[in-house]
Amino acid sequence: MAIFKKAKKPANTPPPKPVGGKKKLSVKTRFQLILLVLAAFAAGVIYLLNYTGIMPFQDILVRLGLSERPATRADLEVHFIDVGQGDCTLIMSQGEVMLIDSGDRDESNTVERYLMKQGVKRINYLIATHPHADHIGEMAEIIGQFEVDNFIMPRFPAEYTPTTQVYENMLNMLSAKDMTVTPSEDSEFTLGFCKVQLYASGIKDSENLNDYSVIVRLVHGANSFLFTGDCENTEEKDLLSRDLKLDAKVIKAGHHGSYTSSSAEFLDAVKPDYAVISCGRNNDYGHPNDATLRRLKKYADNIYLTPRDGNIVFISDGTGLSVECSKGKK
Amino acid sequence: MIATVDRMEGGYAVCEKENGSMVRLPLDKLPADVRAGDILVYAEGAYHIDREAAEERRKKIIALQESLWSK
Repeated sequence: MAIFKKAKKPANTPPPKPVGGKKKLSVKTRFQLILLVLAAFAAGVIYLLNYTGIMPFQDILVRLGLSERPATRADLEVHFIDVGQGDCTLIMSQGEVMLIDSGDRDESNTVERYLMKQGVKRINYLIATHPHADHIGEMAEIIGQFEVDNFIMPRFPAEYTPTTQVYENMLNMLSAKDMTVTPSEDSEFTLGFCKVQLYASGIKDSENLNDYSVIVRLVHGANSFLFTGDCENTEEKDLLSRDLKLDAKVIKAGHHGSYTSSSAEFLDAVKPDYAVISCGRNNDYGHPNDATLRRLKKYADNIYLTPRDGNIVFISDGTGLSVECSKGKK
Repeated sequence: MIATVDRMEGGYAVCEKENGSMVRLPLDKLPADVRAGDILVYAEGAYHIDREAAEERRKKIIALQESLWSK
């Protein structure tokens, strides 16, 4: 009770009465008034700059650091191709091409047609993040149809080798074209203007092939991307324990935005501004998971979903970044 | 019908049918010990695991896979 009284006392003290006839403003009110005047002035300046065409509103936001500067040249293009429930990412820089995963089996050859439309004839690096059908479904056809320089996939224990035709077809096509398979390991190479870093999974004894997903980090000046395949929490922990560079402006959320991926600890390390989720419309697997989406939204102001936005294309000039989607207004 | 288990996904075994198309089978309709890589045979109203057939296929695929590594 005594404490209560003590605490209340200063609040009950009447404010000092103004001396004389004029009412003096408190320091706080004056400060607020000054701020109000400054804000009004700034708004006026911004309006005038925009109105007179000296500097459009978008540019002002960019200058103030409130918005990303759009790319003025397409020195790097990253296409998250809408392949339904699956993953397929096309990366092009200076005429060099990397394709990460192929999406699921597809009678209509969406990916092959997309690549041809982009003028792709040769794929410098073709990566199968892991051998599940929704990531390697079209690999055999892609390897057959395009010139492929390097094919990369993870090693995993022999007892977990897939027994599907889709996997066998992929290997048969590699063999028919006299190609070899480069096992994923921590390594680095250049693709056009970009630096590409590969991280192999450190997990050696999981029966879940997702845990062997090859992680790809792509760096182009101030813009960076992290492609995580179907990486789940187990592999995320392994990556975090190895002191790797994981920060990226854009993340392809692991495993189609499932609840077992994109942990808070992992996102703390990646610190993405943009997140892309590749999954099928109304799929039966609950992708993307609501809690995972909420977690991603805490970091990334911009979330893109292939079922809503269609093909999602990031364009980078090394500083500015633009996003174009084939569907909707985003 | 024969179905090859590609992966487990949210309560389903995602399987590849003989014609190459994919099908989702709810896990509660399958033997409890079903794993990725298993070959499922439908007979007498239920799916049964044919581990022998899976092992044979796996051996063949491992041999092919091992011949392709660059290092």
